[in-house]
Amino acid sequence: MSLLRAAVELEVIEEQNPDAKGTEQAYEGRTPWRLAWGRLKKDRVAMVSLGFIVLLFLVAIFAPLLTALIGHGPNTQYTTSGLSLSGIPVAPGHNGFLLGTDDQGRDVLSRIIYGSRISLEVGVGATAVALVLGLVMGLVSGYYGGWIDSILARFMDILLSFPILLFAIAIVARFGPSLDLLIFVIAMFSWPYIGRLVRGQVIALREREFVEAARALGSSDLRIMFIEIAPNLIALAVIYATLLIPINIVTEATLSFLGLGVLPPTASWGNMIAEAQTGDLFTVAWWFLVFPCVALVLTTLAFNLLGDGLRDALDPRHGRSNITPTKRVKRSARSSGREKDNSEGKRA
Amino acid sequence: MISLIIRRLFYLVIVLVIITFLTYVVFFAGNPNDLAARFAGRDAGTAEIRDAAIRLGLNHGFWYQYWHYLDGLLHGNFGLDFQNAVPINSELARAIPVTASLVLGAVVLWLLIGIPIGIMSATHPRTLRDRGGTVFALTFLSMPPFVLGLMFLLVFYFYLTQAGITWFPAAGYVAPSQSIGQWADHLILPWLSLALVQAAVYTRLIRGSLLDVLGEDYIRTARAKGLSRRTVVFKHGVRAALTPVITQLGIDVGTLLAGAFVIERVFGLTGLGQLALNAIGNDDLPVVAAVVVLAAVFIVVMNTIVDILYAVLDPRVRLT
Amino acid sequence: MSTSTQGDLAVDATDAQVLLEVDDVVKHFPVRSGALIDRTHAQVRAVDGVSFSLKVGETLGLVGESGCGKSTLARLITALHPVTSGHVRFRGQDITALNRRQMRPIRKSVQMVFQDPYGSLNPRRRVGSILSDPFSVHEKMSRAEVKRQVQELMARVGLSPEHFNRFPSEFSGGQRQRIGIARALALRPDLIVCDEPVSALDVSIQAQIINLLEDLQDEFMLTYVFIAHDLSVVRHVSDRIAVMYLGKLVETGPVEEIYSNSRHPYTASLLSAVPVADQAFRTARRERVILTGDVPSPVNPPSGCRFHPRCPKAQAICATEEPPLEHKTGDPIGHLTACHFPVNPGETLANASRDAVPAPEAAVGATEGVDQ
Ligand SMILES: Nc1ncnc2c1ncn2[C@@H]1O[C@H](COP(=O)(O)OP(=O)(O)OP(=O)(O)O)[C@@H](O)[C@H]1O
Ligand SMILES: [Mg+2]
Repeated sequence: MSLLRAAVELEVIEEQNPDAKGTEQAYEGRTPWRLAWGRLKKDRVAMVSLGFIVLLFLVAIFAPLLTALIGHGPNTQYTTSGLSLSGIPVAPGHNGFLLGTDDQGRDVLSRIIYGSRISLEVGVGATAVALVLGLVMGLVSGYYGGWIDSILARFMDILLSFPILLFAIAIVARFGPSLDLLIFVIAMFSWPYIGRLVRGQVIALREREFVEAARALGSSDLRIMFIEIAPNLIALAVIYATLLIPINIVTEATLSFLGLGVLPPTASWGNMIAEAQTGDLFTVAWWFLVFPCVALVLTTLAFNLLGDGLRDALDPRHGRSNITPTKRVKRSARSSGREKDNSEGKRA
Repeated sequence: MISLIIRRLFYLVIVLVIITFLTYVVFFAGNPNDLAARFAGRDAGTAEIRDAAIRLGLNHGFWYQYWHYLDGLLHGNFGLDFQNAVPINSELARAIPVTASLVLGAVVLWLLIGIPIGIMSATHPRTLRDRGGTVFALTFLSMPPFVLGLMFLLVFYFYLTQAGITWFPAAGYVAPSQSIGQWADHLILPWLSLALVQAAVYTRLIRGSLLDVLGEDYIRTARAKGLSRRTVVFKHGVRAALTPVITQLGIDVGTLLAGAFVIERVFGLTGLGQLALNAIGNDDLPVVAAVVVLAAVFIVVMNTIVDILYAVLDPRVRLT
Repeated sequence: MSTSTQGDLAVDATDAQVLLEVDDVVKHFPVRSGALIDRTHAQVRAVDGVSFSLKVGETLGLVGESGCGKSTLARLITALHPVTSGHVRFRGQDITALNRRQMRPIRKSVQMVFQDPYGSLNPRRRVGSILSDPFSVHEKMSRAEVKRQVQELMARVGLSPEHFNRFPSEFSGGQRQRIGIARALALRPDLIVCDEPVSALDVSIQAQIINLLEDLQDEFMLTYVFIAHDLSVVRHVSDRIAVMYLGKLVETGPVEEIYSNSRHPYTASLLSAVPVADQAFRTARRERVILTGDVPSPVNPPSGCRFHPRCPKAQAICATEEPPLEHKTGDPIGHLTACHFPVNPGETLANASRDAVPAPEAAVGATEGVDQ
């Protein structure tokens, strides 16, 4: 959670002039996206992470195929081959269970494969909804300013100061856990991350000359917001969506771990971990705890590293860094102070 | 300064009213029969449900009920739970010390870990020590606290115990009034699980802000005046660098509390989080509502305190 | 000041061909910089009472140092900023009073070419898309028709029409400014405000762009307000010149008048700074007059004549009384100067400081007083 929390304070990404003013030379093929892709390709850490994520998506999409190949369904209890005579789970590599079995004799690998579906469904789904909401609210807030902005910005700050867990506890207590509710809760309470970043960016963008040019042409507010400003937010949105996905994946896992998210027997990494913990089962069968944890941590790491690489690629002004959190937190330090100043000034 | 505090407090009150209202709507508004049925239990008849509705005051209008609820809250009374019809206050009284111990210890620990490593990284930038700090941060930043906690349990509790080393107890909570040593011993792994992830963030935060501060003119002047590097770093640098830490602490109150709730489940600590989660299992809405309101109020109050503290520390804010 | 300009306006108002009238417009920006409590009282007086008028087909060259309010004035004329006070009339219609919807038809007729060819083109949109904006906003046209119009436009301003799928970053500075010109030209406006259209470009490219603008003016009967920060650029294109200093006009007149017979010491010193290439206008009397000191802050402009702290001819009255923009005896009609002690023909300004100001210390003192 802290990663993006810090990132929320990040300063605005400015568009780069790749060359000095007045350079009388045309550069064919110097499109923003091609340049960024060129930079990203050179970033080995980001490319490895990207490869991992692509693989993860393939695994999730072809989960039925994969588990058929393995020969073990995710929810099938292999009571004879999957459990020892005394009912102990089978260790990794035995009886054809590559990552062992769980307490009910189910294949841990198959369950992790199916769990990736939940993780990506919630991670990507909730992030997509949050992205749309965050973009629209951030655009409106930043573009119009004034009291609309004061209210929206305040609202986003308040939402950000509460943990999603608290909302989840309240809502699940009333309506009971379900996958759809989970996506809804995570989306509803994570959009302010994007909203605040977008707002900051829009406040800078609306002063740019090309926006004035659009106004001089008589473009409507809607047109300016969505045709002029929005395309300039794509880089930011791509970066922070990439950083929000792992946060939402962890949130899903945490809520499922607490029994507030995906309910067994549907496999999710979070509820697999919870099952491993029940009755200290992991003390007998560590694999049943460790492998879902590894899947979760690797996925989080991959998205974070890719997000960092994307930021370097799309925002070259800040130069290369091989250290994920440094810049982000560092800038958070300075700009959080500045944020405070600004909001103070506005309210005064 | 005074006006800033008044403004903050006014704002605090507004947010508190909104929070209690929303909590009330989420938990108690809607079909009274539904609520009464939950109160009456799974196999209650219609007559029992009607009784329950009257006992809960559900026959009154919405605003009356809300006011009644708010009135109770203002007197520090969270009402009765659905499950056993005992005062929620006494359940809270048992849970709060556990959560408080967890949270306080974790904050102390994460500052004790995060600040020194951050200072070390900043005073020796681009050295092996700095790299070490970076690796530390990166390792723990991608680790959800509950995963870290379970790994601790597996390694430090289970494998060590198996190897005959019984340093860490597995679960449970011992009140400090009974034994301070036992209290800390039981909490050390939960504290670490919660603190290491956050310490990683703070390491980077301190490093960045200290590097900024150390580059500023007045620090150079102080150095030029012949003060020792140590004095300059600690007297001038760290003080200035701590301002963003305080801001971040305010931002992190919510994260911390949520982390504590999860860690309670991992280590079997009977704090507020466990209370709420168990209550959800029992369909005991007022208990969940009580925990949510309490946590929300705590977060808002802490944020207000941090805002005011920030204004005290940073004169630029005070002037506006 | 207003009395004399009214005279000026009266002359023009009789002419049916007047396109633009700027009448005593003022633009103040509130300063929101410091943490000072009284910060709301401070204001940047970016444009502080400017009047002029412009006939169809005419080009007005607006000249002044950086920060004197040229861009702000341009944005007032194009109604991108609301005025603080005053009026801007286009074909006799006061556009300062119009709301957004009423403004729409006027937008088609009044366009602007921006100062920065990098900032004024959206970096994330393809040029074809940027250039189709005017048509999408104002006309109902099929896609194919829009594309044909855009390519025609690109060809007209000297760009390859097949480049319409490129991003702005794939073009050079000069090409980008051509794109900016094409956008302004798209709806066949009557008035184009060119805000320093060439100052961000290489000298070798500047002439090409200026020639393009002149060709377009002839072809489409355009009226220009042409902004520049030095006099050498505007000379070739302008019919009339207006010299601006700290939010006010200090001298205005027909172009040859201004160059051969400048009356305001500020104009004279600007002319003396014109590069040697402009030999014809570096007559013997124009010794290089170097302006001392920086432009004072528009937040707190000097009293009286705003130029007095830097003026070699300044006297006591200059610090107290603001000179009106008025016709000076001996000048042709339409040549107005705001100065208590205008430069006389043949006067050497470089020596003026010694001649006109008896006590140089006084001038120095005044400068310091303002700098504080
Ligand atoms: N939106 C704004 N808010 C506050 N102050 C402004 C704003 N726009 C311009 N100013 C101020 O008004 C003054 C005039 O600015 P303007 O941009 O009009 O000058 P300019 O003559 O175009 O200068 P340049 O040659 O550098 O383009 C400057 O002091 C500037 O800081
Ligand atoms: Mg300008």
